[in-house]
Amino acid sequence: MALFTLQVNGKQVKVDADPQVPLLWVLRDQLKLTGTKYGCGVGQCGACTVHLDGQSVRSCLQPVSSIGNMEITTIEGLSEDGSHPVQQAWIEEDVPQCGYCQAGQLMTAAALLAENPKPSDEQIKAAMNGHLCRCGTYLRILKAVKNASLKAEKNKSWIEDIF
Amino acid sequence: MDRRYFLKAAGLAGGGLVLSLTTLCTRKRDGDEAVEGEEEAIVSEFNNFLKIDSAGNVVFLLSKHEMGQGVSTSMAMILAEELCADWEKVRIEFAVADLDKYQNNEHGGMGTGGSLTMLIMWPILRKAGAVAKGLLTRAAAQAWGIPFEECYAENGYVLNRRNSDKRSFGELAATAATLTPDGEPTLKNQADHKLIGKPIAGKNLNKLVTGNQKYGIDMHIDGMLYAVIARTPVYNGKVATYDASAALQVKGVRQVVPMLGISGVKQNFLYDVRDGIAVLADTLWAAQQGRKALQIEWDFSSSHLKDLADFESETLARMNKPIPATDFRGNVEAMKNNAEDSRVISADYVYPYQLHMFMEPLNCLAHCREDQTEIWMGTQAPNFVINSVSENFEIPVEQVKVYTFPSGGGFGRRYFPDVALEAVHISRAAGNIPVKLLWTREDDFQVNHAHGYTLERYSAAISSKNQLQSWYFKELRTYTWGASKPYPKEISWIGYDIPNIRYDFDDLLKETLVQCVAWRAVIANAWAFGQECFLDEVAVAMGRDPYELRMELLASEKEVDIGHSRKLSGSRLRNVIKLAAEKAGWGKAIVDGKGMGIAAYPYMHGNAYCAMVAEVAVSGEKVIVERIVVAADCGKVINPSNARNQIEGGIMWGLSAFFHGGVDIEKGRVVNSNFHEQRFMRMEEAPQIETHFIESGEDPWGVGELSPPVVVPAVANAVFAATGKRIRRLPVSLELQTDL
Repeated sequence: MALFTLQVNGKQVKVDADPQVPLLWVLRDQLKLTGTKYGCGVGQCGACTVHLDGQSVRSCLQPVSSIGNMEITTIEGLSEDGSHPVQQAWIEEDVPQCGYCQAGQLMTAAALLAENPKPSDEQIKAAMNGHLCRCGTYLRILKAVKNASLKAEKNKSWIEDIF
Repeated sequence: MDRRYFLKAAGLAGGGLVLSLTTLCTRKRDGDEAVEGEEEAIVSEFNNFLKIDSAGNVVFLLSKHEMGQGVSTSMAMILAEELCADWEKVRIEFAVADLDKYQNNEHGGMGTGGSLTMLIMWPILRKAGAVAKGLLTRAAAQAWGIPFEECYAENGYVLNRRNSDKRSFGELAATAATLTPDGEPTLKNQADHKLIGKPIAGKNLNKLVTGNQKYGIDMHIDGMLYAVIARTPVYNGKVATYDASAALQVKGVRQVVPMLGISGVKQNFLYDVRDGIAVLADTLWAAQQGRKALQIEWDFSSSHLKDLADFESETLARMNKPIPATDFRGNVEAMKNNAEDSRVISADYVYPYQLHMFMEPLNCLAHCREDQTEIWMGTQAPNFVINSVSENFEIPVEQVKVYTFPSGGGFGRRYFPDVALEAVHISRAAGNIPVKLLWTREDDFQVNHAHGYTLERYSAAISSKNQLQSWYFKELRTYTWGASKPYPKEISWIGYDIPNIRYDFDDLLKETLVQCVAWRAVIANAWAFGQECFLDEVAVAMGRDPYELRMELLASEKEVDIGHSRKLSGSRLRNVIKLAAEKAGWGKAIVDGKGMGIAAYPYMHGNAYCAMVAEVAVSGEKVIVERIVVAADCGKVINPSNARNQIEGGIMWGLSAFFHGGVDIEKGRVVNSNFHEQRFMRMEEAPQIETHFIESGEDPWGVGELSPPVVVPAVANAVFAATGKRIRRLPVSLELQTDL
């Protein structure tokens, strides 16, 4: 066991953990941030996706000792109140069924749009293809990412117009 | 602490209850928004489905399981519709499982499956909403001192017809809940529906997109240990000897507990608890490391140590041995006594074992104590959990408490109580401590229950006048709903008007290589695949268009007795086929390398009908599904947004079986361990889907299991149209085209 200081959702937290433990379990079981989900443990399903310094990564593959000072953002920290454009778009398109995979889907969608605000369908599919949804909500996820892209663009131009 | 402990019930006259609770505090636990400016509210309980607080918040108590099929929102819509509630003020709460309250005809039971929820709950929730509306209206009438008829409810208020006075449900609830309902309530006319029929986003979406929705796997109680089980890798295997000394050396590992005592439970072949050794630890990580360090010698003397291929060849040999008819229409021996000038064609179809692979792996938190056993889990049948725990551990049912959660997918697997039996056993054997048992994804793949393997043989006799004269279907399957023999009379769900139909069935319960359980749409998957593909073969043999042939075979629009409690409606089946063909442009010119296929099948438990036209493009051995046009008759559609989502998701489900399904087994062991070795559909493979619902004034029926069976034969028939190659076994491989 070793003591680690992590930056999680804008806060500094200390955890005592086996250095090999994946970040996923530290988040879920020690920090009680259960929005990040376990799906496969081998980086194949995407349910555990979080941001490390804004990049989407599979937290099931990241030993806690590898994180260092990187800023961790989980679904709970994506926005304060569910107002991130991808969250709003997910609601408007009524995307989820069971919802279990959706936190991971949202984190990758948010990272994609941060990097590429106007992705093509093919770019969205390429980015989202690493996420499994057994309920099969893929068509709505595709729509929602496009919707979020438009929302983000609108917000941006509004801000640019005024300031 | 659970919110229910905050409740202080005060019994009042008339069967209603007024309960007080600290709303703000309890809501925060679930991540719900607190009621503005309201720290204390009086909560009035109208019936087992409905509470209204003094702030006007309407709480719908969900008695069925929400696993992504959307029943929580749809059920709340039905209740809110009759109640005339303000939808914005409706919240959904998961009811604590309660046999007395819910497990009866009057309340529809808690078991969730068979696409039955809407069908069962529609009259019950309408009545519950209407009765409560009547009580609220009477409370207002009394307050105003005017006749009941001069008041009406709308959008969370009762209004006075004489003037513009109105009182909110919140103001009226405490009084209304003490009144006694009188007589049968009047239900709304369809034309007056404000919620039903509108596409409404799921009630829990805010929680889902912010990570605040709690599933069973997210539950945590102080002092709990994590457990994983090293289960026998072969079905029906047993632990011979084990050595836990290395496992107990792993830091964080607390105890090692054999499953002997609960393993081997196989109630009527419905489910199975595998033997194994459980490792308990402070963290899941430590439990997993401890499991790796266990030394176990297995005893496989009662197991089939076979490869899947051996099992398949033995099953085929058995298929060739005649058995008595299970049921028939017309002449039972018609296929043997065909006229000399008739033609007979035959083909075998295989729908193999399938995994459920839902995203939230099985899990259960259990705490067994002297006087009470508490269980936290997402389950499709809390009643089954309570009764099975009670029976197997000799605990009175009153002492088994199940706190229910939504689940990250159920698809039939979560109907069965085995994971709860495991968790309770471990909690008890470890000394009555709280234990959170998790199935890792590897457990989910390799030691799990599966969808049944089905081998089907079809024969059809075509007369000299080119009429389909006789139809024969024989089926061998590793799954039945219970193991009672002789099986009830049943013909597969065939609606076509063919003079002679015979159905032979036998089970493979003793031969199966894995325990089988319900899997979304269950036996309809194999039945629709074989029937609708073989009918396509028959159409080709007859030189007929497969759409025209179907329409002709349903021309009488008869209701057909298939041995199901419900009759199969030829006219409803015909209507969906017609609509799908129209919308898809059946018969339009298709370029080389592309093809269109059609298929239709009812889902009898849910009383719904579905047809699809699939368009595929095939290049080499790669099949791309480009477009699926769906026509569905599921009665009145409560929530079109959810119904479409279900149809679309069901198509992905069926296509996953079509392209990627099956379970590879070698020497009794499931080979594939995780998603890198066995996939299901991903976004880039998703076809374009258009769903059309038949306008219906009928009651709502089930939609969750409607589309998976139909998409498989529709796509297989489209592949034939594109390539001339028949797909008679899943998953698809265009290399394997020889007959079985």
